[in-house]
Amino acid sequence: MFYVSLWLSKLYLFLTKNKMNDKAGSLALKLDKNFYRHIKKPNIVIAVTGTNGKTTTCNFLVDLLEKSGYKVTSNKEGANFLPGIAKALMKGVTLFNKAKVDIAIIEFDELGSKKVLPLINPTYIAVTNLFSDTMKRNAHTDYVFSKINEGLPKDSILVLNADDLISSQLGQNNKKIYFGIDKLKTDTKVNHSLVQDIRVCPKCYTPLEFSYFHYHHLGKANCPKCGFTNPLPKYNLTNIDYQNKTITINKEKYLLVNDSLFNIYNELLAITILKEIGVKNINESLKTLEIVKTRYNKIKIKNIEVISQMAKGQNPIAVSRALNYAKDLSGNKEVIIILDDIYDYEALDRSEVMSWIYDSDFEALNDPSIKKVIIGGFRAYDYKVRTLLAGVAPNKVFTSRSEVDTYKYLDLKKIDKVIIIHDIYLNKKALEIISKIKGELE
Amino acid sequence: MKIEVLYSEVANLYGDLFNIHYLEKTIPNLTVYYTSLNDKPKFVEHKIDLIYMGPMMERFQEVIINKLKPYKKRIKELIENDTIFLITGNALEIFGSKIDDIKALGIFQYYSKRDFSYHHNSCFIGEFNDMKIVGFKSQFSYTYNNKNNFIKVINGYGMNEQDNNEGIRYHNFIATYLIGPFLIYNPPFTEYLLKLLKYDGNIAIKEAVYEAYNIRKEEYLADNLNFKH
Repeated sequence: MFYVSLWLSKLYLFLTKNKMNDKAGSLALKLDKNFYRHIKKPNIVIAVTGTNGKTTTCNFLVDLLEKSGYKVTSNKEGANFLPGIAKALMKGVTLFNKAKVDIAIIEFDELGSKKVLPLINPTYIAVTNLFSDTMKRNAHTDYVFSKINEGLPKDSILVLNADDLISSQLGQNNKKIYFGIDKLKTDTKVNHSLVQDIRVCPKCYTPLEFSYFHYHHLGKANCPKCGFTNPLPKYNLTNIDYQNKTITINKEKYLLVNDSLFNIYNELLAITILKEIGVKNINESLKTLEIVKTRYNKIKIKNIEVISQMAKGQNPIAVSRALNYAKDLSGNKEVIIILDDIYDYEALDRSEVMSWIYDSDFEALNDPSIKKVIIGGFRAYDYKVRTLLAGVAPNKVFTSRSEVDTYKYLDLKKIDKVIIIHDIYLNKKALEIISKIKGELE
Repeated sequence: MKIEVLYSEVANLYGDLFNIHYLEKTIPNLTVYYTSLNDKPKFVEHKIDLIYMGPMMERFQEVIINKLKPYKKRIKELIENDTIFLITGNALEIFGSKIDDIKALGIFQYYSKRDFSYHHNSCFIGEFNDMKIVGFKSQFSYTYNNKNNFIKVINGYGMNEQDNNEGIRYHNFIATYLIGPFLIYNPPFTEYLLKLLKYDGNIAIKEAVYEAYNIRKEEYLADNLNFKH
């Protein structure tokens, strides 16, 4: 049955011209219940998960490996669960089930570990980080930690973030490689974010003493009672040179792809994996590496820079990072926020939980360089309350039920930049806003 | 006025500490004590006007039960003497008789059961003292055998799948699974709480919170919505 499944799913993929969905994978799994056991996997399987950065890290890995001459399959055109992963593996073999790629890069959902990992038995399992996430789905970090842990195959090598005292504790019996970022000039002694997912020692519950924070709980800490502390990173990023656009990892210089620390972690993780599998000339491939435009885009229209920054709605860390990013940009700015869960709002059994805005650093908007905060969508009034509680003056806060109409409140003569912070499913609305701004300026 | 927040280094999920930040914005000269796991609670020896504890990861419930056990008699006495307690999310389970097989404080006879295979999420609208109450639930557990009802359910779940009442109200001990933060999402209730605290000023950003509350209330009262799923 396996070959019928392989051939038909390949035929389907060919006829539908590799659409961005998982139907070919679903078909393969339907026709052969043991598809995962039968399909030939490439020599190296790298699985990536974590709260934030897994998609970007996978995109980096695929691009960098391909630029370095490796043949790669991945599930970046599909979802991060069984059908999407089946499709990726199916694309990686010939009609006669011979591996035609060197490496599979597989993004998997944190909660899917138990179902996914034993089927693909990864060589490496990388975890970007663990933070508070969409609470509806992921509840809290203890829950997600236990979900990842329960699926880890014993022979997989874990690639973990040494600066994260939560995810670095995964896989008690696995071999581990750590990556980390050393103390930076931008670090703080006090955590200025609302969410800090670990505050007490996981061994003895004594309050942890942090010597510095990169952001949220990422940083260096130790327990004054039992000595619990961060593991030592094998790949240690010691310097970020924003001017010359380089980072230094273990004394070697690499090109900096994007200047947000959020993405520097993704680049560090990708480089860690490349070094582990022996890829040479990484800088050559880094030269042309870009972040996917739907996630981050910057264009200049007349004298105004318009930046769209995707942030997964309901994910307090992603939204906090985006808000802080907006604050830290130079010049006078106006910020548009469109983050509603449009699918939930249409459901008659809706189960929205809006509490996450109180875990997100809207306080970043309370900055003199931010001249207006314009919020669009049916929950605009909730965001308005949150923004006012962050201390933003009422005359700077505007709401619009329509996402696109937010552009009407912009005062384009007085500012240098517009930042649109949008949910993953509101990318089209963000593009519409950009085209409206174009219309106004041109 | 004095508020004590218990164990906020672990009982800090779902933005619920904004219940307290909101009171800080509302009441000038408010003193808030943040009591850590290593500290003796202030309420043991001092007069506190409101004691607050919010939701936490489940493993911390047992830690907190052990921290509060020595003060069980004092907590009972405070409740009987009408001290205000505001307890949100699964922190309320700590005051019941047990959580699964873990012996809880036993101040009330209700008990709670966890189910990590099902994470409950829902919206809620109910009624208390002629006030509509709105909020959200996000939890792994239900509570049974509660005798001291707080909010009557209009649409959504109560303390468990069968219960038509949400939360606990006994003297001024007020507890609810509703997260929100509860006080920001329910300005009429917050005004009621301020009366209990004998504070007669206005709530912070009154117009904006009422605007958001009224929109949500109307939306949640719609006949075609069913929050029980």
